[in-house]
Amino acid sequence: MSFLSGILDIGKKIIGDDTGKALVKTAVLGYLLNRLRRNALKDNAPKNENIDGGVRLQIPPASDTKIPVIYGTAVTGGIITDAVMSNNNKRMTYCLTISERTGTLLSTGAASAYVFKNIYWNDTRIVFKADGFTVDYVVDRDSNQDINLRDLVKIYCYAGNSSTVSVPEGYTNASYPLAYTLIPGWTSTTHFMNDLIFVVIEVNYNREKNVTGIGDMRFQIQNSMNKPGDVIRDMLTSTRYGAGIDVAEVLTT
Amino acid sequence: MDSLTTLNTFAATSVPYTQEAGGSATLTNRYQINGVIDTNQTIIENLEKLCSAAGSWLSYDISAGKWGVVINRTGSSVASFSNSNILGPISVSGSGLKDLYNSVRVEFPNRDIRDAGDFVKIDIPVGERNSNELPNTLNLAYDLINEPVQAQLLGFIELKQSRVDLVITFETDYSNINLTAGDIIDVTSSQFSFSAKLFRIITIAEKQGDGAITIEITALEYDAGVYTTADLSRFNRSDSTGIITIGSIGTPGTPVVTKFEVDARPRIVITSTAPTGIVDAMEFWRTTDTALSESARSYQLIGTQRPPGGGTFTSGQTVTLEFDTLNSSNFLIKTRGVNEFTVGNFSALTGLIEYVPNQITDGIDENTKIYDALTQAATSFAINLALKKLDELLGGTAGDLFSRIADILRSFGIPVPQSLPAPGATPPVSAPITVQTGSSTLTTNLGTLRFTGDGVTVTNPSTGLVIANIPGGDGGGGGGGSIDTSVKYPNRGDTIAWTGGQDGKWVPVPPCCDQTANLATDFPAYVERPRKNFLLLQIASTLPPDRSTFADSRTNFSANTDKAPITGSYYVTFNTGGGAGYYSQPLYGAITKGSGVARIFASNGTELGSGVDIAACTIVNNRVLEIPFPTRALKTDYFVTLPLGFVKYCDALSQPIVGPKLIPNDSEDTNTWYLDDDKKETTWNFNTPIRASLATAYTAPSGNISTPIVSTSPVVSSFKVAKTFKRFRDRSDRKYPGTTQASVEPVVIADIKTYIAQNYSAEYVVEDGVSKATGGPGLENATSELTFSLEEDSNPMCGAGTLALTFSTNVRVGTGNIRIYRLSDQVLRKTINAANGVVATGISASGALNANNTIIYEALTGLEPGFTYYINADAGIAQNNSTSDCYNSGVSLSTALTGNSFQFSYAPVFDLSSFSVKDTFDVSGNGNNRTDVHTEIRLIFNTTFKDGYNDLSGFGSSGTITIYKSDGSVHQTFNLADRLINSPFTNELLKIESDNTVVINPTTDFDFDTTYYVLYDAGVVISKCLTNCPALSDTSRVRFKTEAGPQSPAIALNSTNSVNETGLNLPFDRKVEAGSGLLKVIDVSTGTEVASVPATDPAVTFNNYTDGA
Repeated sequence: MSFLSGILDIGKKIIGDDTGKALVKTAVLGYLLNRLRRNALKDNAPKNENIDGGVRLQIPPASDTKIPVIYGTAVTGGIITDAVMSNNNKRMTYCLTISERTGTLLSTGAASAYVFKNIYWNDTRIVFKADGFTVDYVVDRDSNQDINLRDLVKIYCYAGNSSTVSVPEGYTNASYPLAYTLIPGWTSTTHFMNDLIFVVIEVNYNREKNVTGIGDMRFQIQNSMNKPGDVIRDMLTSTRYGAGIDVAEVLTT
Repeated sequence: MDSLTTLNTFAATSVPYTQEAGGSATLTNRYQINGVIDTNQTIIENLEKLCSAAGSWLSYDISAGKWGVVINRTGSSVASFSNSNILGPISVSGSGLKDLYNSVRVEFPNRDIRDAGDFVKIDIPVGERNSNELPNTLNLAYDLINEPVQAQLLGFIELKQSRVDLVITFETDYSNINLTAGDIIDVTSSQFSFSAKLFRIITIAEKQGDGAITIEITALEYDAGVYTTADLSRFNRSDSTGIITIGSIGTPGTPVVTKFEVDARPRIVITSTAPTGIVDAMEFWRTTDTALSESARSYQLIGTQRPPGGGTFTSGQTVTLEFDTLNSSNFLIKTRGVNEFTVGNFSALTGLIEYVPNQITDGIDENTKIYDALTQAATSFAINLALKKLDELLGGTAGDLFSRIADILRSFGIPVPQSLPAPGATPPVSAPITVQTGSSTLTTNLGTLRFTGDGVTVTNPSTGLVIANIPGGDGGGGGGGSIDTSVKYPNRGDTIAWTGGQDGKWVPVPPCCDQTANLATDFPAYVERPRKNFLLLQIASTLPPDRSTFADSRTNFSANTDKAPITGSYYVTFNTGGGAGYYSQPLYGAITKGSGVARIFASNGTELGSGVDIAACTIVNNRVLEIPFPTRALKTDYFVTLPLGFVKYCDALSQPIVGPKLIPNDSEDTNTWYLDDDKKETTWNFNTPIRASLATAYTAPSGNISTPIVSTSPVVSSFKVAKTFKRFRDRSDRKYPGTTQASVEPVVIADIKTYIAQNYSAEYVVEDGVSKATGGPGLENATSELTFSLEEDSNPMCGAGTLALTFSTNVRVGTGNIRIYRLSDQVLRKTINAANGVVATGISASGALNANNTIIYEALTGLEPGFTYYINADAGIAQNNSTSDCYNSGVSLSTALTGNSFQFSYAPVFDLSSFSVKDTFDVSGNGNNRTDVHTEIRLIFNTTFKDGYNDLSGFGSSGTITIYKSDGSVHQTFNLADRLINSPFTNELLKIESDNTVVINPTTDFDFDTTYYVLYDAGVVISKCLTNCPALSDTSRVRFKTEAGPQSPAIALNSTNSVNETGLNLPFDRKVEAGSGLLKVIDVSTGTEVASVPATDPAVTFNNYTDGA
C-alpha cells in the first residue's frame, strides 16, 4: 500500500464513502497533502518569497522646455512634466504634456478646438468605462481584448489648462475631474498648465495584472486647425512657439 | 505672392484619385496639415516644412513689408521680358542628364497605421526617360502630412518640377518692381531660343547699378503639366510587417436572397461575398422603407457573421446568413465588411424582396398526433380538408369520395344520413317539444301554450324565442304586481338609510354637502342624516322669535305675546358658536346661499304654500337671511322648517330647523308625513296675533361681521425686474442686504420652467413663495423676508426685463395701473395695465408649488438704457386670493405703491467711458496734460465686464488694441488671440484691473513729446450683459501726449559780435545753420528799420570753423 493510498484509506475511515460527503473528504485530503508538501519543502523555501519588491522606474528628465505643437490630426506621445507617488508608493500619478494650444483660426476666427480621438497603451487601444477616464479594457491590433488594466489605470484629458477638461471622443461626463484635483500638490492657483494640451495618468501598481510601469502612451488628437494658411499664420505670429511676427506684417487676405 | 487666405482656398480644392480596389474617389482637401511640430527645430525650419507640405514656399514682400506664401500652382504670365527690357546678359542653368531625377520616394506618417512611417514611390517609366538617363531617386520627407494621396501629389509635383528645372537670372529696369516672387513671366530670347517661354519668379531683388537701380529676377522654368492631378491613386500601403493595412475595406458583392416562404421554418438565406481588406465580420442590414429614397431609409442590423474558425474572411469568400424571424413584409438587404477599426462600404442593394412566410408541418403519417384546444377538432378539420382535396383530385362528381365513405360506414352499421341539410334550413327534430312543470308534462303542442295575462305573445323567429307584453311591467296594466321604479342604485359615496315605518326601505343617500337640495325634499327630516366632515353654522336668532311655551291657537291665545306679523318676511340671523360641531370662528365675511326650501306649517300640519326656495331669499347685513313666506293667517300657530345647509359660510353649513315632531304616515306613501298631535312644532314656533293691528312688520336685524384678524389687503412685498428668475436653495442661502452669499444655485422646477419657456424668452422663474407672515398682522413688516436681492437678477438690467410683483399672500389680478418713473427727473416713462398681468405660481423652499403670490406683467420695453427707474402702482392691482383665508377671498384689494423705494436700473449702452494714463502732469501750463513715456493706459468702460473684476473672461476672443502715433504709424499692437487668456499674471500686456477697466501695458516706451491715440476692434471686451464693446475708431477719444523730455538750452549770441566793412559778424554759442526770419538793422536814434536780410539770403554765410559765426 502506497503512502498516498494509505491517506485515502484514512480519509475513508474518517468520513466514510458517502457521496454526499465528498466535499468534506476533498477538504481533508487537501489539508493532508498540503501538510505533506510543506514538510517536503521545509528547509528549501525562501522566507520572503511573497514579498513584492516592486519595480524600478527611472524617468529621464526633460532637458529642455520644448513642447510640440499639433496641427490637424496626429498620433503622438507626450512629455512627462510631473509625477507623484502616493498610496504607499503603489500609485503613480503623472502628467504628460502633449502639445501647445494653438491660436485662433484665420479662416473662421474661432479658437482651436481639440478632441482626444483615441488613446493607446503599449500599442493597444484603450476603451474607457462610461466615466471617460477609467480604463475598462484595451484592444490590440488583432481585436483581442485585455482587461488587465481595468480600474488600475485612469487617464484624464485636458485641452487649454487645468480647468478645461476634454472628455475623449465618444464619452460624456459632466463631472469630469479638474486636473489640479488629481495630482498631489497641485492647486488651482499654482498649476495652471495654461495653453497646454495634456493628460494626467494614474497608474496603480499591480504585479498580478502586470501593471508595473507607466506604459508607452500614444494619443490620437485632433486639432481643428489644419488648413495650411491657418497653420502658417499661427506659426508666424505665435509668441510662444512661433516667430512672434505682428499679424499686421502677415499677408492674410 | 499669395495671401494665407488664398492658400486656404487652394488647399481646400479636391483632387480625384483611384482606389486600390477600383473605382474613383476624391480627396476633399488637397493640402492639409496633420502632424506634430518639433519645437526643437528653428522656427524658420518649421515654417518651411509647413509650406512645403502645402506645396508652397514662404516669401517676404519687400515692397509691402509682409510675409506670405507663393503657391506652386498653375498660372499665367503677368509680365513679358525680351531684349527690350532685359538689361545685360541672361544667365541660364539647369540639371544635367546625370542629375535628373526619374523617381521620387516620399516618406510620411501614414494615418492608416497610426501615423507610423510609410512612403510612396513614384517612378517615371523607362520609356519616358531620356536616353542614357541613369536611375536617380529624389528622396523627400514630409513630417506634417499623413494622407498618402497628399504625399503622392506632392511627390509628383516635385519630381516633375525637378525635370523642368531651368533657372534663368537677368536684370531689368525698376519699372518691374511691382513683380513679386511667385509671379509667372514669359521670356523671349533668340539667343536661347526662348519664345515667350514661361518662368516662375523665385526671387526678386533690387540692385544698385551705376547710377540706376535695377531689378534682378531669378526664375524657374514653368510647365503647367507639373501640376496635373492625374494618375493619383491610393494604395493599401504596407507597414513594416508587410501586413495589409487594416484601415481599408472594400465593397462586398451584392447580396443574394433566397426565400423559403412555405416551410416548417420559413426563412430567407442571404449570401454575399466578402470584400477586400481585413474583414473580421460581415454585417447584414435590412430595411422595410422600400418606398423611400436611400438617404431616408432606416436600416436594422439583422445579423453579423464571422469566420467559423476565427480569423478574417478572404476576399471573395461567400458569407451566408439564415434569418427566420421575419414577418410578412417587403424589404431590401445590403451588407458590409467590418473590422476592429473601421467599416467598409455598403454593398449594392438587393432588389425588392416580397416575403410572405407560411409555416407548414414537415409531414403527417399514422403516428402524427395533433393537439389543440378544441378537443382535436383541428384534426377533424384537417382530415376533412385532406379528403376534400383528394375528392377534387379524383375528379368526377363533387362529393363522390364522401358518398363512398358514407356507404362504407353504413356497411358497418353506422347511421349516416343520406343527405345533409342546406345552409339556413330548419334543423330537423327527432321528437316533439314538450312543456313540463317539474317532471310532469303539460303539453307537447305549441299551440296550447298560454301565459297569464292578456296579450302575451310568444314568437319563435330565427333569431330566438321572444316573449312580449308581460303584465306588471312599465307598459303593462293590472295584475301580477308592479315593478318598483323608485328603487335607485346607490352611487359611489352614497350612504344607505332606512326610511322608517312598516313600508320603509333602504334608500341611497348622496353626500349631504353636494346634494343638500335633495335632502330637503327626498329625505324626511326625522331621519338622521349622514354627515360629512363639515361644521354647522349656528342659528343665533329668528324673527319672529321662537315661542318659549306651547300655545294652541284654538285654546290658549295671547294678545300680548303672540304678535308675529302676518305679512312681510321673516328673518334668521346666523352666527358662530354653538359648541362642538359648530363653526366657532368669527364671521369675517357674508354668508352665502346654500340650497333647499324653507317651509312654514300651521300647527295642524297644513303647510302654508309650497315652501320658499333659498333662491327667493335675500341675505342682508352679511349674516341675516330674509325669507319671504306667504301671507299668514291671524290667530294661527305656525312652525317653520329649514333644511341643512340652507345658507353657508365657507365650508360650514347652516344648521337645520327640524325636530322629532314629524312622523311618517303609515297609510300613505313615504313622501308624506303627519304631525304628532302632542308635538306639532319645531324649534321655530310662533303665533300670529288675534288681529292685524297688533303686529308690526319686521325689519332686518343687524348682522355686522367681525373685523378680520388678518390683513386682507395684499401688499407688494417684493418686486423683480428680470429675465432670469432664480430660486434660492434654502433660506440659509438667501442673500440679505449686507451679508455675504457663498453661492446661489438656481434650481430647475419642471413646471415653472415649462411655464416660463412658454411665456418668456428667459430661462425660468422662480420666486421663493414662502410666506412667514401667513395668519398674522404686520405683513408689511415681512417685506425683508420676501425681498430678493436684485444682484441675482442682473442689476443693472441688461435689457428689457419683465416686471413681476410678489405680494404678501396669494393674489388674483386686479385693476389699475403700474407706473414706471425715471428717478433722475421723476418723469413717467411707462404705464402698465395691471389687468394684463398673469399670476405666477411661486415655489416654496422645499421646491413644492404653493403660493400664487406673484403677478408677472408685460416686458419693460421702451425704457432708455443707463437710467434708474422706480415703480408706483394703484391700489387694487391685486386681489386677495388666499386659499387659506377664504373669508377674505376677493374682497380686498392691494394698497397703493408709492414713493421711489422700488428701484431698478438699466445698463447703459456698453462703451468706453474714459481713459487715464500714468503720471499725468501739465508741463506747459496751457492745460495740455502730458504723461510719462512709460505709462500704462487704462480704458474705463461704462459697464461692468463679464463676470466682473479679475476675471479675464471679460476679454473677447479676438481683436486687437493698437496704439498709434499721431502720424498714423503703429506704436504697438495687442492681439487678444495671442495673450495668455485666463492667466492671472500681473505683468501681462493686457489685463483687467477692476470690473470695468482694461489696462494696456506697452512694452515699448513712448517717444518724448509725441501724441498718441488708441483704437481697438469691436468685441475686445465683453460686458456683464454679454455685449461686445463697439469698435473705437475715433482717434480723439483716447489721445494723449507724452512729456516733452529733456530740452536743449536756446541758441544764444556771444557777446563778441562785430561789424566791419565787410559785414556783420554774429558769433553764436554753438554751430548753427540758417533758420528763418529776418535780420533787421534798426537806427537806434530813430527806431526805424534801416535794412533787413533773410536768414536764407545768399549774402549770409556761415563759418563754422569755430564754435559759432
